[in-house]
Amino acid sequence: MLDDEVVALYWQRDQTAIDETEKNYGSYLMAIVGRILPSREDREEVVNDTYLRAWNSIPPHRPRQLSTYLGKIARQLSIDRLRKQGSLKRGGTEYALSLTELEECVSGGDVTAEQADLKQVGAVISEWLYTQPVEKRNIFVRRYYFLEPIGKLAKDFGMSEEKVKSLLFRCRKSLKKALDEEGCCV
Amino acid sequence: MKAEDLSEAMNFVDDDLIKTAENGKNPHTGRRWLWWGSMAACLAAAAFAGLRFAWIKMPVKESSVPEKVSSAVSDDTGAVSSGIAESSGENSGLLPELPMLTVGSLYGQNGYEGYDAYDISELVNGNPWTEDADLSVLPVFRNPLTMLPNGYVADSDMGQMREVLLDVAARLGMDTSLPITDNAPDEETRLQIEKKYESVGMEVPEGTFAATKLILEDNGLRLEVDAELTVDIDFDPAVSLPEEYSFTHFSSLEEKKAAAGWLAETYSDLLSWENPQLSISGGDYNTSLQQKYDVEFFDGSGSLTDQIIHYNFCRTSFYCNDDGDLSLARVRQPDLSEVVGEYPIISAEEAKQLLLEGHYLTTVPVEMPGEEFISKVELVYRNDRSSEYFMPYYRFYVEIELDEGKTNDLKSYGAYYVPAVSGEYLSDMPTWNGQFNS
Repeated sequence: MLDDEVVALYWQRDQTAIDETEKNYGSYLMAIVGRILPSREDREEVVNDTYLRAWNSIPPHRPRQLSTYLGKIARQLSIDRLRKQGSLKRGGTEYALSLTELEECVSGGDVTAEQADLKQVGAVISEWLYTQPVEKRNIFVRRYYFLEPIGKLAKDFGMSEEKVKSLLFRCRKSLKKALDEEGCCV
Repeated sequence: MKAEDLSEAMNFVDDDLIKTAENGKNPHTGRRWLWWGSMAACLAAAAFAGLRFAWIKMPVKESSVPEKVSSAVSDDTGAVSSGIAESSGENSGLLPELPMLTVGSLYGQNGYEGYDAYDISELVNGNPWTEDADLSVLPVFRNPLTMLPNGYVADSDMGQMREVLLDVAARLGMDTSLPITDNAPDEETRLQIEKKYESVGMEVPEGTFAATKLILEDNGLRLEVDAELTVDIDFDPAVSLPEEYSFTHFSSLEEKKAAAGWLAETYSDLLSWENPQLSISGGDYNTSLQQKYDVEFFDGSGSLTDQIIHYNFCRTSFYCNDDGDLSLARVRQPDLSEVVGEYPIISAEEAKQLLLEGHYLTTVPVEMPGEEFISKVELVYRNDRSSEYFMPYYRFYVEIELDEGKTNDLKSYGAYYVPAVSGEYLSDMPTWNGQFNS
């Protein structure tokens, strides 16, 4: 079923919207949450919560890109769950590894997430990404949004793992500079 | 700010950046595609020089050149027969004159067509096509519907919808003199919809308030027909099958076959074909590791081409509710009266070569991994409502690796489509360029 037909089902409050969403995006969402949550039970619950969140938010939203819309919900719910469990950096997941890397971009100060205005930080990151070459941009997003392993990125982009790591290192330095310049409470 | 906050801030990055990163795999492959694409465009332009139709002198291959000149044949009911007109002349070695077709893309369509199973043999259906089928031509139909950008159909043919509705109602023994209603929203609902769009700063899209379905209700049956001439039959109350039949969402293949036998007998008037054929499709697993099968019937009479058309377009399905009762039947019988022509098709082996060369459409977010991962092929028609043409494709089931966090032995099979129509008639042979939903 077309994405816009699925979205139309949500707007019509037709519950087959959930079935169609699961059919189209169940594996996709599992892949995303699987890199954040070590527990299978948690993953299944988060994916189901994603469907519920989609049901409750469409309408009024009418996402252009359903995969991205659902992916963001699933990602946020996964991080929230880890935060609640107090285990953000545990579990040996790609998410935990990515946090270790991202620590280079921040000062680790006492400013809270709310105070930092994450939406504004996201906008700064977007602006910075648009200034980067496409390949760098894509690798960065796939590492720090999709949390793909270095090995997979190396394979998909035809590079050695060392080259990917080196590229990401330079990206993090450049991003830190951009965040500092914008005064993003880092 | 902490690292986890920065990671969380990634959730507010522009959707387009996320989508582009998700789609773009190997930029090196992308560059090669661009070169091939532009070369192909030049060759195509040189060959056809502005002509829409062309006689093409090609080496004669018995499998691709029909012995007789074919023409579109449809009878008064709009049904397609496999009629091939006799040629008055000898085979000149030229391909038949037929309009060029555009394949288009799957962009924006379907999230991801993939099937999870422990083995490919678990994925079943009743497709009458087999790899040893001896077919050299198949019909291509023009989609009679025009889609609006918001997904609604422009200019539904209400007269045709009414005819189809009454035909199905008669088959079910309903009172066809009862009034037919539609689903156009009433005044109160219109105001609610207008308010909702206003609240998000949008205008109500064209077609939102138009009737898109016709409805007839009688004695526990509610029929709805849409612009694609699909009739949904709601059973209210739902119909309980005899105790010995299991007809639940997760009944086994054998249980569904048994229940199908009862359905075929009980609703024989609905399946008013010469030779109703059962097609049970499904067998893939959901995230709870449950297998699901759908029960459908199609007309198995006529030539192989007829059966293929019936299987792909003209089917009747039966659905259960959570209690294992029959709650819905769906009769599909789209308007296939606009036959563009009978087109030469390539073999499955030729299609596989094209697949390996990257000429395919897919909603799978990974590149076709290689020949050793091809598990199955079948010939199907894609009849997406937004496609300009309904044409045949080879659907390849390819084992892919998607979920790094997977903890079971389930394999994922992604669907990759190669046009079955011979490339000489395609103005845009697809080439995968790393885009998701290409």
